[in-house]
Amino acid sequence: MKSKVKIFVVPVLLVLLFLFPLLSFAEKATQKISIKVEGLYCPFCAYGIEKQLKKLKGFKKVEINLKHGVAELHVKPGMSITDQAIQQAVEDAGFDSATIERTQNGDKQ
Amino acid sequence: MFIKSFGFILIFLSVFYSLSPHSAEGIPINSDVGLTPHKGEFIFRAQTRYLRKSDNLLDQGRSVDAVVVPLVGVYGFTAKSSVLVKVPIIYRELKTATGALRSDHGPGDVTVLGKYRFFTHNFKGGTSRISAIAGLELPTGDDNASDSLGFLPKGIQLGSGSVDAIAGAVYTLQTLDYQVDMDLRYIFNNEANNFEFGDVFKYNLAYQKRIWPSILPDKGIYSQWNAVLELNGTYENKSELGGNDVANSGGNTVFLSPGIQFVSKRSIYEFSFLYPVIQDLNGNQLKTDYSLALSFRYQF
Repeated sequence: MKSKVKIFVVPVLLVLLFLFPLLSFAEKATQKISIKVEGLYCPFCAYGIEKQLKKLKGFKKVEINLKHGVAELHVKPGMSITDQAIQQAVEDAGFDSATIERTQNGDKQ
Repeated sequence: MFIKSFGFILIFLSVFYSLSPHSAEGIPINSDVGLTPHKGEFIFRAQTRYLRKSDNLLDQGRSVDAVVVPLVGVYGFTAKSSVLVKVPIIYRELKTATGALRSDHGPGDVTVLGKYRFFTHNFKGGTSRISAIAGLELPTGDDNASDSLGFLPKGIQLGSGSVDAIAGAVYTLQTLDYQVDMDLRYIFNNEANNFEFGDVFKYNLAYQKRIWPSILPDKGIYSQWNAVLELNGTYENKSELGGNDVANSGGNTVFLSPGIQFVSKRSIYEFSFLYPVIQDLNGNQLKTDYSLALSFRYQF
């Protein structure tokens, strides 16, 4: 019985050990896009920009920081979102301009 | 009359600017806002307004009680342009000098209003926007209702019977801490059934200050409570019956309207108490005692 357990557990552990660096790498490869939205000053209006940004393809998470007027897009590994698409989303939300800053692994690009 | 009203507005502005170097935002309760919805956004607003008028001048025991429930839908066609449709459900009851009660209820005149934001100026710590508005008030409400005593007075009828044009502009100054809105509009009333309501000029000024949270969270979209103070003015020309002025019609009324508002990411809940501070009415008309407004808005 013990040997049967070992036969099952050892390969699982090996697979997990193999996957761990890959999962870790994937996390590190996540790109974050910070969008400073000019004129964002109200919770009711902030929902609009959140909704428009969520229409973009390739993001993992959208976070709005209303206090600083910043929207953060966490991009899925291997995906990209263009500045033009972001700018269009910001304009559709009723805001005229945005400053876009990209960081990968915490480094500015 | 106008000098008195605008003097009051100037005092109101100066007092509030001096009280608060940084003071709320959202959308005012009884005034419009210079902001437009985002592209594809739909906002629904339902409001209950109660108004009480009584005979302050001759004390004949007359009074009017009115409950209006405006159901409003707003849709953003583009980020700068939107259309609003308002369907008011009305109940009005007049108590005459003899004690008779005369009332009517049902849908009133539907308003269709377009808004275009033509000016945006962002600056450090705030934004200002100006929008133009234009639209029509359609004669969907019954304007010919009667009871056992005959035709109901025009003020009790649910509709005007005429297609009336509306034009105006709205200015908004918004920061994280406070918001100022100025809403000016003119309603060109037309004749129907030999009667024409006087043209109406509405002038509203609103100030909102965030009272909670006092310190903003570093992340996320937070909910907040605002204190709201508005000046809601209406100047109305005399109505005309058969081409002649109606003596007991028209005048100027200004309400001072404190209110409270809860704003979250998708909804707003609000209450306002409208107290008349100026009532300069022509002839012998019922004067407003007070009005209450309770509403919510939800964006989809």
